[in-house]
Amino acid sequence: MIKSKEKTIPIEKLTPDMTLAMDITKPNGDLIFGQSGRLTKPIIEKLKRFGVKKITVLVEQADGHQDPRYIKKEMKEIEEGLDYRFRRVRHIPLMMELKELIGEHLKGKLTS
Amino acid sequence: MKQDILARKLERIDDLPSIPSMVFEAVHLLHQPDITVERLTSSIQLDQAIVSKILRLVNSSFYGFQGRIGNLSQALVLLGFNAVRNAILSISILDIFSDLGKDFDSRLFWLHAIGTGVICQVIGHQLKYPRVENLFVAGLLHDIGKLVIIKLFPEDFFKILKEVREKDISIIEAERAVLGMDHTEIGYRMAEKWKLPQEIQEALGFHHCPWNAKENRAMSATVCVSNCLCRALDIGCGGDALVPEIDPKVLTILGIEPLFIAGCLEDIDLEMERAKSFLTIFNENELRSPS
Repeated sequence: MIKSKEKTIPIEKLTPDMTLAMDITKPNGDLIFGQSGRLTKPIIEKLKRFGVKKITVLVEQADGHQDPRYIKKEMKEIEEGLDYRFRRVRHIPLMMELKELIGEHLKGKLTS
Repeated sequence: MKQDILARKLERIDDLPSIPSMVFEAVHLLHQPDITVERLTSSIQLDQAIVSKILRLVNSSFYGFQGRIGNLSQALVLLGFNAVRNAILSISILDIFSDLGKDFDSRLFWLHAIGTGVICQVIGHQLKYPRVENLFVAGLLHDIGKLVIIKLFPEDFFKILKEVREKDISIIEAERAVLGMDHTEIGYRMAEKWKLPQEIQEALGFHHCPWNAKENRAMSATVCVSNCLCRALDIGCGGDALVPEIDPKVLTILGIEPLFIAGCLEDIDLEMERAKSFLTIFNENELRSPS
């Protein structure tokens, strides 16, 4: 059973195995990132660019290990699949940002 | 496409079977502020085939009350009027499209439809949207116009798929090229005919251009984003293997950033597992009342 607890930490100490404990919003109330979202490196970088200084997270423990050859193969398939599905919108920055975020999520599932 | 041919096609769309009158009555009753469980149950009980399917559906893992709901009154009390209304509507509409021939892989189509409905629901919960049940129905039915094309114009549909394959274009572009209209226009027309709530009608008609919706742009925008995400995550198939563009205006309508979408992905994975039970509804033989 994986345990988790809330902890407020500086954004520099955020790591991709952490999950937010609450929504992050702009001053005008727009949601930047929902609390149940999984953090990835690109997401953390973007949160920094949004000016977020401290953050409350649920710290989870990563578990187990898998065959690295299997993971490498699966990751390649994920990338090729995304390249194929996003082929008509690869000139649009917003869609490429979305592709990157989805790629991180799909690959993160392989190792979590 | 000559105008008279297009007009004849539109007439045929209007001739498609409607949903049973009991459904209209039940949906109407469910909007009444003083409706009682008894009154509603007696209206719906008249159609035992629908009752049996509703019970099968509400006892699936999708609703989280597995095996506990033995009759309609319980379903109304435990799930609420809106959830039951939407179950009735979904079942009735899907019944119309239960036989689409062996050349069409309806499983992948419905997986895309259910996936879009689930994603709509997850986004709706995160945004604290007040009528999340309607969002699921809007997502589930957003591509229903494609089924109308398959049912009424199967030859045109296979031409559309051929265009998609050979020219590497989206299905909506191919529909316009072959038929002179697309699934959103047809879906909107059907939703009007079925007297679905106005915001759901709009979602079917404007999920590729939510800024044109009048009653509820947020619902159309949620379906737009969910359709895109469902394709990006490769859940089912909507007729082509392309992620459509999300116009930045769509995120502005919803008041969200791209990162918000990434934050929904965990919940989407969890909810998709539960919602797969919804797929059983498309196999008539599997439908039975809970014992």
